[in-house]
Amino acid sequence: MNTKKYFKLFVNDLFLPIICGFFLLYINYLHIKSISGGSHLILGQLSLLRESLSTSILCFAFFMFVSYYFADKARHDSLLECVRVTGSGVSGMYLKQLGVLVCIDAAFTAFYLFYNLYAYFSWDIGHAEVLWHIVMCIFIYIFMVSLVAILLGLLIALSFKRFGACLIMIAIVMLTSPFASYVLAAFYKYDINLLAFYDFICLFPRDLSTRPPQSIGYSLLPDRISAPFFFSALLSVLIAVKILKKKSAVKYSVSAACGIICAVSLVVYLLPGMHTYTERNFSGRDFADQLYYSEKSGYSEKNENGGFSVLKYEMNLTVKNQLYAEVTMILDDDSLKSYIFTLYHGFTVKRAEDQNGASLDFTREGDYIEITSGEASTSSIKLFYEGYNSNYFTHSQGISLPGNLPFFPRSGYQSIYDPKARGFYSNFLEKPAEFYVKVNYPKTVYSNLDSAGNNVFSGVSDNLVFVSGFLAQTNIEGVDIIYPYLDIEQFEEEIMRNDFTVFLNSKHDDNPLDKIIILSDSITGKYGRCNYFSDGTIVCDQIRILFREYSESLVGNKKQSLFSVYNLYTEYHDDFENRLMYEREVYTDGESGLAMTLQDAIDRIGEEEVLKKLEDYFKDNSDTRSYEEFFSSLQN
Amino acid sequence: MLKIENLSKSLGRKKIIKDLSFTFKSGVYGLLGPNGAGKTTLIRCITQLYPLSDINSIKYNETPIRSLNDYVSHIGYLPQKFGLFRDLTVYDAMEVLAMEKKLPRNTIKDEILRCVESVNLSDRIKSRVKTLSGGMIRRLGIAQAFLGDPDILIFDEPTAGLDPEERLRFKLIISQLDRNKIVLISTHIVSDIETACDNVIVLNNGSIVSSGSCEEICQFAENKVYLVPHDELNRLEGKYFVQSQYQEGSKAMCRIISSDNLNYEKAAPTLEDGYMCLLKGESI
Repeated sequence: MNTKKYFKLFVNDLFLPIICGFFLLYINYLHIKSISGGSHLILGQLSLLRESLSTSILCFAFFMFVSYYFADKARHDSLLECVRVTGSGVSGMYLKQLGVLVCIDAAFTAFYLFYNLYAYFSWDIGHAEVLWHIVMCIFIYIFMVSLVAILLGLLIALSFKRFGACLIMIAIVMLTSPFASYVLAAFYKYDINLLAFYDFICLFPRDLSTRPPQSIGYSLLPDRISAPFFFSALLSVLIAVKILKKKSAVKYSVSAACGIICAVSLVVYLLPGMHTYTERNFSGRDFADQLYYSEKSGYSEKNENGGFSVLKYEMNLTVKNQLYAEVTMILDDDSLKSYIFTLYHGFTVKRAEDQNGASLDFTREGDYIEITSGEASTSSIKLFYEGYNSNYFTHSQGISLPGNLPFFPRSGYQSIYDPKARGFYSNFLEKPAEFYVKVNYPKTVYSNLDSAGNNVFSGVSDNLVFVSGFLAQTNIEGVDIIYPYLDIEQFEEEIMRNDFTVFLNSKHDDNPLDKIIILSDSITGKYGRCNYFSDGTIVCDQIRILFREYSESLVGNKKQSLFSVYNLYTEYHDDFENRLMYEREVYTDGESGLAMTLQDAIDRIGEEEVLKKLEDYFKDNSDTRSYEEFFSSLQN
Repeated sequence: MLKIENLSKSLGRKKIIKDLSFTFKSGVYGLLGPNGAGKTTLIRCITQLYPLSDINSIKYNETPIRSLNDYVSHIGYLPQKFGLFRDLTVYDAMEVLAMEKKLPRNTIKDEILRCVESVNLSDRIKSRVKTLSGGMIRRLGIAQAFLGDPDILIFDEPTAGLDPEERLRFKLIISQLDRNKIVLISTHIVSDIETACDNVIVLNNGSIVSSGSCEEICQFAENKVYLVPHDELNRLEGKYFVQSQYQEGSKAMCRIISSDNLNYEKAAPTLEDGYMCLLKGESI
């Protein structure tokens, strides 16, 4: 009953209903525009959710100012002292005001939910996991973020007078706006990295400027969920200290409860693998690899044959906040003193054992591991490791483990990353191996291997891929296609069928084709765009231009750039001419680009001969010359 | 009975209340004192707005007020600066306070009507608070103090900023109060309590200078009040204090207080004269 009076107080105010009305109108306009504009046809079926989440910062600012204004009314109207000498005290009044604001927050959230549910049903998405994702995103990024803002506004009203409060709130809004990125960049120039801290205090969703992540959606990892709870609890403690009577049992109880929530949230936030979405953190996504493998960081690659092969891999993979792996490798040679492997440095090796379970010594240098044999011969090695890669993710929302990330040990030392191309090379096992893999993960996992049970896979291949998330499987002309079903711009059934037909018509080799796995939401670099596995699987990021990328992928890593230009020359000559023109403008100091080099060779030697030699060069996998060496041999 | 024993209170480094003791029994008390005497601080100690360094320094019915969970329910308080939610109606604003005072729900409506009636604002009960005059809001402040019929009523500067008509109204309201309650009216305007109070406490520099009935306070100025023509003031020797000036026909007169035996017409002392004598002490 009394809260009803506070509602009345809110509604009778001169400004609050008008401001709320305008904000609500704006939200309605935004959503209706997005729905009627058919944004999902371009941006995928999370486009409306993206629109909703893009207002998260606005909600924060709106609720902080509204909360401050509303909570300050008692002081403004000179009522505080009087209320303090009542049975409830000011705590009762502020709690009721808080109740009103939370109800308004809930009403706003309901609007967001209404539109998103409308879109969910009218766009016929039909996947309960997406519905859950939408509801949770709106709860975390709209309701909880607004709740933090409400508590912050209340705390500011309790702590500062009007002028100081306004200054503080404006400063907070500035820090949460895009303006903050300039401030952070300015600090970064002077080697002061505040990004990790900013990442911690920033409650808003990421990736809103690009297409929505199609296979995993927006981040709902525990760190993002825990952040608003952490701040809500922290602010509640501070508010309790301010408004509750000194040394009261309620005050201690509230403070203790909120303190526990704070501590748990902080621990969750600090768990490894929690920040794979936070691309603004320079240690996240592809930036981490880019920095790690740059010359500046002192990285040096190794290439060395291990002198052995792995005949069989038995893997027990568990995906939680990161990947936990137990990999048993049956070796073809048990007589070596040491065994060298390549494994992505982000996976920390905990232990190595031989076939008898005896511990083996090992050394680690970046991506390279050397395991020393025990006294007995070593016929198999079991490695225990855990870790993650921010770009090729393994977390509760999805899995993206393509073959070009060495997430399982491979014999020998290999260079795995091309800093110039900002991507991992397409490395395959020298000889196909037998695999038996169990993936412990609550969602359906897809792999190039054959299914042997629930998320259990077996088969023989020269590489491995595992994906999971908002993915579906369909079959077109006998080929299984695993694709992100939310991305209807590319993977609507009819569109997919047409693109696939174009690809099939362009495929002139005899390579078997059983499966196409679409890798979504990872920044693949040029080598990861398309890879063909010996078991007949293609892993690629789209079908639309698969006809071009497939043939490109069949040539070796170091030939791909030249093949791309060759492809332009033979198939898309206008594009080749454009590139040639561009290179002639750019290379003015005696250097030449690939198109210029090719055109020069054709002009001097003749088109027919150059193209014939190029085809031979691309087909011959044993020809490991670089393109510079190839052109140099042409001149001779 | 509200008993204050050896109460001291400092704000920052400054000691505002100094070892003050007093026992309030039922009746209307006027708390007189100049600005900065410690009146509001004393009231805030009584209302628990300020924490007490010694929990035994204020007791209500022999129990330290800190130990009484329902102590505030015995208090009706009108602070020096008072307002209500301006966007609510008089009834709603009063209901908010009634709820915060935890009055039984079924009594709230009657209580509000009774209290608003007692300050003669029944006709404005549906008006928004922001449409009321300052005097009306002050009266509403008195009405909200009445909510729940508390045993102790405390009014801090209740007539500050009010016009004479509203001040008269206030006096009327106070005179109609139940004398079985403890009513404490803090003010520096003597005339406000002259007729309304049974007892007067004079506070200066954090200590009680004197207390007693109005007549007893008046006694302090007995034989010290003189009526002197204005143009003869500069002829006076010794210490004196000009209490007021007034016109008598065409002649400007002064009412002065002096301990010296002057050769001028004496006047019967008022409460204000007694109060000034107490404040000025030996300086007159």
